[in-house]
Amino acid sequence: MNHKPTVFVVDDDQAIRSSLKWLIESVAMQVKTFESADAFIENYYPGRSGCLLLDVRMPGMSGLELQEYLAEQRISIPVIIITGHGDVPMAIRAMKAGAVDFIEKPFNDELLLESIRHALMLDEQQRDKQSQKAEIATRLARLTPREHEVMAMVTEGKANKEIASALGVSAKTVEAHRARVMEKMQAGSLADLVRMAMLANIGMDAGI
Amino acid sequence: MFTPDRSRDQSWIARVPLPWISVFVGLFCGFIAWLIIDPFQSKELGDFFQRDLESRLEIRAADTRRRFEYFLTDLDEATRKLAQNWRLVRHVYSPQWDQSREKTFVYFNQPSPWMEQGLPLRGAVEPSHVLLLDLQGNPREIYHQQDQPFPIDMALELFDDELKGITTALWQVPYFITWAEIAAGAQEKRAILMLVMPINEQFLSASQQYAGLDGIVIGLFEGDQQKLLTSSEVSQVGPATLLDDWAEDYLITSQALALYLAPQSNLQFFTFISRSRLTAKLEHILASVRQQRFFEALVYVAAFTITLFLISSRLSHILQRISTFGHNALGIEQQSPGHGNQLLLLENRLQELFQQVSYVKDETKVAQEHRIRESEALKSALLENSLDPIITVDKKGLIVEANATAQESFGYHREQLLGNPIDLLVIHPKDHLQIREMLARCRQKGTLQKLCQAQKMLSIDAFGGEKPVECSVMPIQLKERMVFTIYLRDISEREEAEKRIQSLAKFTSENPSPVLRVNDRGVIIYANSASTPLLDYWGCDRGQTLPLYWRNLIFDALQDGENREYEINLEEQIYSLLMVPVLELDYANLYGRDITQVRTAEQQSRQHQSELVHVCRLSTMGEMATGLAHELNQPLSAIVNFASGCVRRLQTGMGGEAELVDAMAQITVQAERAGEIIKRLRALVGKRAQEHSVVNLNHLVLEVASFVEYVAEKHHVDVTLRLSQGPLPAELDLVQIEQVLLNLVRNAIDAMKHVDIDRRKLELVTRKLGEDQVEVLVKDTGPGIPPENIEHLFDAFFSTKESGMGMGLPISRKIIESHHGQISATSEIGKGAEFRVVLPSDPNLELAGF
Repeated sequence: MNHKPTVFVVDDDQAIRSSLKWLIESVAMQVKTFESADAFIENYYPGRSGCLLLDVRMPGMSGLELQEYLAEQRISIPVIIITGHGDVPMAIRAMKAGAVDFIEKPFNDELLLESIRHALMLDEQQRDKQSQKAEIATRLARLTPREHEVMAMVTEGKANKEIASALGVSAKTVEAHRARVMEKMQAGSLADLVRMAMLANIGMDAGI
Repeated sequence: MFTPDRSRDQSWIARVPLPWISVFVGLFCGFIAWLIIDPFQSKELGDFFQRDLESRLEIRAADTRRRFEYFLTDLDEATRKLAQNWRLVRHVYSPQWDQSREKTFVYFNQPSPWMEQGLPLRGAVEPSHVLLLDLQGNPREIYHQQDQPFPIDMALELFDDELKGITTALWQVPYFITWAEIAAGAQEKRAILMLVMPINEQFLSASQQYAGLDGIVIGLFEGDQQKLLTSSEVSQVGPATLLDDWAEDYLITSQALALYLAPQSNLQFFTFISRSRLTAKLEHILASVRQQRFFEALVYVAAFTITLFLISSRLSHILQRISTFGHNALGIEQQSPGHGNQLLLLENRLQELFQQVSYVKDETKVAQEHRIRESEALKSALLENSLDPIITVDKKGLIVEANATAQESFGYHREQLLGNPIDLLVIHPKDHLQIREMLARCRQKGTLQKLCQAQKMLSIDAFGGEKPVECSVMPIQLKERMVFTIYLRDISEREEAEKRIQSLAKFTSENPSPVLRVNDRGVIIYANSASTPLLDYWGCDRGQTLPLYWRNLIFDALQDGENREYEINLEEQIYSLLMVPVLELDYANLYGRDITQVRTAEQQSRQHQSELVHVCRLSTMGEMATGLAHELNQPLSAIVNFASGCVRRLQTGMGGEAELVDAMAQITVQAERAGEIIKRLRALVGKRAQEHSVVNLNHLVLEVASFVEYVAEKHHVDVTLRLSQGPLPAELDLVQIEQVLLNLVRNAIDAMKHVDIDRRKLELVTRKLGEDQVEVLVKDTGPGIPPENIEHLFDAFFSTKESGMGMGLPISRKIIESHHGQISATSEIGKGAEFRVVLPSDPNLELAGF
């Protein structure tokens, strides 16, 4: 698989597509263009890193609709909205829907490229976070239900004794559980564990 | 298709016809046999003939010896006869004989006087010495008839009283010596006659005179030394040679003499036969035998060849028949009999035939199996996929088999069905009797098929659901038992359909619109109740003929088969009548529709139509501008992108020349595209031909006001009209001026968006300016126009609005100027703006329409 991030361009105007490709490739980025939102959906693999340059006004599925679709599918690719003259209200809606940036045609190349770089950086960060989350989730999965409980309480800041009384076991048992949790989560310190718990708060909620 | 292997045909032997091979083989075998047999047989024959010859020779040798001995006997006899010669008798009885008793007379080269006539013997030989002896054996007279030295004494010693002749060799010369008594009658004997004959060439020839020697050499040899003493052919076989010296050239036979052999003498008789003669004879025999054998061989080869030739011709015939058979029966490509060895061809052809036959057999078998399997599969598929439940039961009504549809529609598994009575499982209790009777009837032989067919029943499924079914039974006689195939066709849908059809039949009569059917003679076959107004109008009823005019229309429709639509205007109602000819059934359906309301609405809408046209035209202008702006933006963006991309590439030195050229070409294309858009815009504004009409300007303003009423209300703008009292006739293009005014009004409303709601006021004023001009003012209470902008207001692409394109006012000015009028603007910052349109007018113009 190609790990180089790709700039996906979705615009119904062929000239815009090819000119954007030309412009973006001039800074040695990989570009893939699609003539419609549908074409993009049909060809996009969620795993791919990159950002999406999206025209708001298109026949068929509009840019905003595509944004909604991506949100529904939990595809968190950063989106830059490109808009023609007079589409400002739409652009604002797009921004509210989570677009990273919006750029008006005709483009200022500096602005556009800067925006793309920014979006790619965001994507990378997101991906890092995602993979960390995934890692933590796999570690969490190794915990027994009881260890889950102990971890939840520990990260809430409860003392061993409190936990012991809450769970109706001895403090020593709690201690043992706690040690195993630290080991299984590969946490070096309590702070580490808390950070992990925060990152994976969904998992924790589900665990109890 | 099966292809026989023909590689064997390549061998050269296969290409030679059989008769040639037979000739060749015959000759070859004959030659080989000849080579082997000839020396062997020749030798055998040679040996045989040699042995034969040798035995014959021995007989011959014995013959010669015997003849020789007879000759000696004859000589002995002749001597005795000679002794009786009267002269000799007289001589010895003469006194002289007595007188000279003590004397011996020797005569040389003088024949004895009583021997004038020689020996009394045919072919006799001359004695070399003749002696007369007295009775004691003493010689009295000796006659040397030849000059040959001869030991008389030795000869005399051989004298014997028996007076029998002897052969002996004296001084290496063989002699035959005979004695005979000389006596006169019964008188006392007086002397003895002794004859000495050398056994020489003449002697020997004479001894054989009756038979002839014919290349045979005979003679005597000394037995002890094996030395030849005399021979019949001295020139060839000289005496004094050894017997063995001749063994090479002659075949030698030696025999002891049985008679007249002197005691102490070992004389033997030999017969020489020339070997060369013998060989010649043998070869002659062998040659003739060989010749004979050669002819025999030729005959054999000929017979062999002819036989094979006949066989090969039969083979060719058989080949032809096989080929024909293969072609007719098996469809092999017909082959010419071919040239070459018929036997190999036959073998090939037979092999092909066998292969083909087994191939065809296999194929037929496979095809047959395939057919059987296919038909089985088809049958079972038919059964399985039949949409009807099919159940097979035995005599007792127990289920033997059920297809998938049956399992599905009755909700049982196959296992649940098998072995159970059909009536209990799938037939409703009230019909149990019926199906049992049906089965019982079908069980009887000779039952009419129709008794087993199609009876209505009620089926019941596993969940108690009831369905009407049509049950038919088909008895099937198997080898050992009889089974019944029961078809249970679900007829619930059919019953449903029947109901539906019945209800559909009512459909037309229930139709609130008139529906009629008219046949090809113009008679109304059917008319629903809603058709009454139409029938009343035509003045006819069902079963009667249509009026002539309508009848003709029906005929026309049935002629060309095309639908026709007419409108019938009754007093209160308007009907549309659709005439649909159904050619194949020779009638036409008439579908009426009450279109009274539609027509009324249409009339109303027609009144609005002209207004609508204006609305459309006017409202497009602003949208068009925005659309155009967007459209223009696309190529411009593309140009910017391409250009930026080029710059970046040129700066960083990446990208090839071709690539850059390509991008720049793209820039050109996009710029041209932008140009096209501009051109289109211009065309839109300028090219339309003006349609001038005389209009009351007040009406026009009123209309514009009504257009913007909705927008104005939405933006809480208070619209005030201050129109001139009298009409303001002007000759102008209604649409264009409307556009101008509408544009001004919209601009005014837009300008007041950011003004307090209660301060938003729009004023439209019309008035006369002198005799030949009219004026329209559009005033707003917006923020006003800064003075520096006022002068640019009518420049193209000048806009202060977010989404404005800056085209409205320039176009407006162009339109007004084309009407020979003026447009201008004044403004007071913070208070508002006022747009003023002045148009030429003529009070003499007659107002039309407005």
